Amino acid sequence: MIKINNVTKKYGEFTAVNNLSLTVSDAEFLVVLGPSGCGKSTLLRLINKMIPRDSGDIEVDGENIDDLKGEDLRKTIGYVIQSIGLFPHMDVKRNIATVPRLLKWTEEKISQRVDEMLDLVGLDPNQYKDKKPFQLSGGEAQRIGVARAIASDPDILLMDEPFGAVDPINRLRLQKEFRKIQRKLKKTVVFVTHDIDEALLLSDRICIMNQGEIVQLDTPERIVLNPKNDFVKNFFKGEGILTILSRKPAVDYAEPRILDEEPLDENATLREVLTLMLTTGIDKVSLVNGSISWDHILKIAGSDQV
Amino acid sequence: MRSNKKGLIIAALLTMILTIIVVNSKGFEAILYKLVSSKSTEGSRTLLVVYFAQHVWMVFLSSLIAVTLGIILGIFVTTNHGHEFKELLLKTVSLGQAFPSPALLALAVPILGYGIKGALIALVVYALMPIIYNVVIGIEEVPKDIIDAAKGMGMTETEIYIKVKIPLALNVILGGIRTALVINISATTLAAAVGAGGLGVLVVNGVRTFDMVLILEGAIPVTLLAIIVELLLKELQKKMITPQAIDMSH
Repeated sequence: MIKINNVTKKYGEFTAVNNLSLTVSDAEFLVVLGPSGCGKSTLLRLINKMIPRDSGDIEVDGENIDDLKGEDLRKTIGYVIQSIGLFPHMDVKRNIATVPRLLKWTEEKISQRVDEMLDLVGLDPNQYKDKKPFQLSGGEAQRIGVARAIASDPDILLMDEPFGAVDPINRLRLQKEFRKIQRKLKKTVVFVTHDIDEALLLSDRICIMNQGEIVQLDTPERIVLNPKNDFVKNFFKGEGILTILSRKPAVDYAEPRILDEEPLDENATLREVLTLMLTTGIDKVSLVNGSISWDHILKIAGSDQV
Repeated sequence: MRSNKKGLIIAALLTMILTIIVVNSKGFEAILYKLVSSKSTEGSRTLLVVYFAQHVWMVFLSSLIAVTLGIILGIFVTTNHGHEFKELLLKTVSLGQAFPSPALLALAVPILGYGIKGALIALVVYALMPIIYNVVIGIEEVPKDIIDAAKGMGMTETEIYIKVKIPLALNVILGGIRTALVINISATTLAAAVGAGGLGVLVVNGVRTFDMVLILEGAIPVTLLAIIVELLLKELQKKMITPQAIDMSH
């Protein structure tokens, strides 16, 4: 758990983070979303003491971060940045082993952990562990970056636009995989991005920031349907609802009516159902546990049911 | 790969030639007398191997001191504690480099007297600039995001230096050491002027008596030594991580 209380950070005259308070619960995936310069990266770097703050308190897992040395705090928090920052002179296994080595794990435990981590991020250990970073593609390098950040099994992960430099197709795959990993390992994640779709796809809650302050902090559904003010409304430009629908498995909203048709795949989302309706002109789609109609989707999309 | 080996082969070949010259200096002199005309007929009175050993010893000592001092000072001024001394240090060492080396040697004599001490001081001052410059540049050129990642994972400043900054700067640092060594090998010739011996004795005597054989007898081994060291250090540098590998990683 991370508790941020009335924290302010100034760079000279410029206030990057202004008297901000925020609590991130255990195993929560919080996305901090906002335009560049809104203070989101600064907020992230305040949590692991990469930079000092001017006032306010931060608690990580019940401990005031002022009571810990910066390096000791950072060893317990995973950190992933956009440029990844893999060490070019070390092979993949040494990169992943960075924090375990700092923590003086045994060689045997480290080597086992490296294999586990590579498996976790979907890379074959035998094929990848001896490679040097320059031999990796952008997507592979970012997977290694994630593996390195969670190698010592920290409870908390701080991520600063980690998928920003990856091409769109790989980005979507990485996002989905990472969400799965996060759910499986129950990590608390604070994830900074300016990509709205990414925020809607990954988050349990979104914290929208502007000029160093929180504008709205809520679930993606509620933010999209009830934007607090024009800033939030303009930021999403109304497109959020489609992404929200892509988070929803269609089977969760099935109506009991059975149709005499081949049902859609059980993993299909409401967005896929909608796409099918729009492209084929039908107004009812068959599902494995019933069916769903155009009217029903309209009703769901406009309500708090989403 | 091929050119990799080529450097080593040339270095080995030149080392063989140098060894033969130094060990069998009378034969070397005989060849020189056939090639160039000279007033003298006996060559050097002291064996070439003695001067050679003095020369190598001075190069070794001055380089050892310069490399140690250069790396320590260079690293120090890249840290937060030493940052304010950076400009001062860089200016001082480039001034030392700009100062004519014979004058530097001459100034060392009244302070330290004749002999190896004065020569060493002058040689160290001379070799410091390329080493310090390359240490500073090499460390400062390590990409910021890599250092950010290292810090973000909980490395202390010392650990960042040992595990990240120095290994990544090693190629550039070695380049500085290589330049310093090559300069030093030929600059050590001047040590003869302050009575410190070395192959410079032959060159100085040769110049004084217009004896081409003596000049060449001193100059050829110096040149060979410099080329061999240059080739070997270049090979060593190739084994280090190249800057391209850093660029391609992000």
